[in-house]
Amino acid sequence: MTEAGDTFACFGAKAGVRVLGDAEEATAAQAVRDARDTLLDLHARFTRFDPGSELSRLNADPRESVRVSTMMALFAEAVVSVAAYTGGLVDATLLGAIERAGYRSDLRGSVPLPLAIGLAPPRRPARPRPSAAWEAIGVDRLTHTITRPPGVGLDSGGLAKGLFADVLGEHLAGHASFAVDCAGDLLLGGRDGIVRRIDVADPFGGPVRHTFPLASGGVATSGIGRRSWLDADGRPAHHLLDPSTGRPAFTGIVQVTAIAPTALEAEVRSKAALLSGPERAEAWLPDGGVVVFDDASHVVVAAAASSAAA
Amino acid sequence: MTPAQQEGQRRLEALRRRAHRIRVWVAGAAIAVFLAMFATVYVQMAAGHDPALAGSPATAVISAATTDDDTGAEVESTAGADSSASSSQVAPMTTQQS
Repeated sequence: MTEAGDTFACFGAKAGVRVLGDAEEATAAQAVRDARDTLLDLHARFTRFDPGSELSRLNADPRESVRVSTMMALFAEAVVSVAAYTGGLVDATLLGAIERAGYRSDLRGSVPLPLAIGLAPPRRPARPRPSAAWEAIGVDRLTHTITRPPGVGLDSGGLAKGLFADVLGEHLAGHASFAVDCAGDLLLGGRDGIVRRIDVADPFGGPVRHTFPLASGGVATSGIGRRSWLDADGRPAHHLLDPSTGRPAFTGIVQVTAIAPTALEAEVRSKAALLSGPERAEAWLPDGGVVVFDDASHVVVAAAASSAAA
Repeated sequence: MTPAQQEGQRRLEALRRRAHRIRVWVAGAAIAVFLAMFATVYVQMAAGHDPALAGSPATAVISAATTDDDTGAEVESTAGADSSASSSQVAPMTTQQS
């Protein structure tokens, strides 16, 4: 049995799908093709860099209530759930702040991480906004209608990638093994419980930082090393904002990899851990993970006894 | 044999029969328990979930990356992982910032 796979440009980076074994509904090769088409379609609908995308049209819509696609409604629900779960720390309604910080187009380059760390302000944990916009978002599951105060925009960011990986995973579960890679956010699974090696990339560009085996579950990595820039005042900036200030967060952590039962949860945990700072990061990693600090050291957090992703 | 002796013998035989029944029940129960445990472990192993390889709570602090395989990466097998059904048929995956 040979694994079918494909890697392609998506989400402003590389995405990939690998499937081993045929299922009732599709061969492995067909499943890979379908998954690729689905991801590319979702990217086109959820990118905020295309004014014609469904997300851009929703964000620009002046009406308070807007009917959307099933997936967009699901995403909006995820935005609210994630914010509630993290107490507002992971907040996908900071669209205005991220654009004011300078992230208005699909940034491919980045400031060298050691330079950004050297120029960064004093480290402090991120905090939620006192008055959070996400609390005012409502989603009607029956009519697929999103209600929010005018001007509140949603940033698809990493949450959408985790969600997409989980949705694809539902379709691929009948195959012996599968792996969905939404630009670094992974979902593994399959009927045979086959273990795959997971490599954690080094944020400083060195060799693989850590390796662990996983049969099923989500893995996500968040960090400040990619999609970073220097603002008009020469200050280092990146896409992970401190909700309380609307400015890029420098907490003393440069990258977190989180393991969780789903890719969306892994994405949320990795972001929350990074934003929480070194003192509280580990609490967000009950299924394990890897935390890399400003000084390039790292901690491997093992799964708690009462929790297991796989 | 006096009536008292006959009564004593009857009681002894009853006791022996009862003891035999208990031994049979205990042996049967032991076999049943063993089979149940074996079946559980067998199913877990067959499904790729080796209890002996389950993760235990621990935190490893590494000040610099250590290497021990051909990827140049350290290997950790406790993070919610299952290493009993690994296969060279599937490709490794990389998680990274995007």
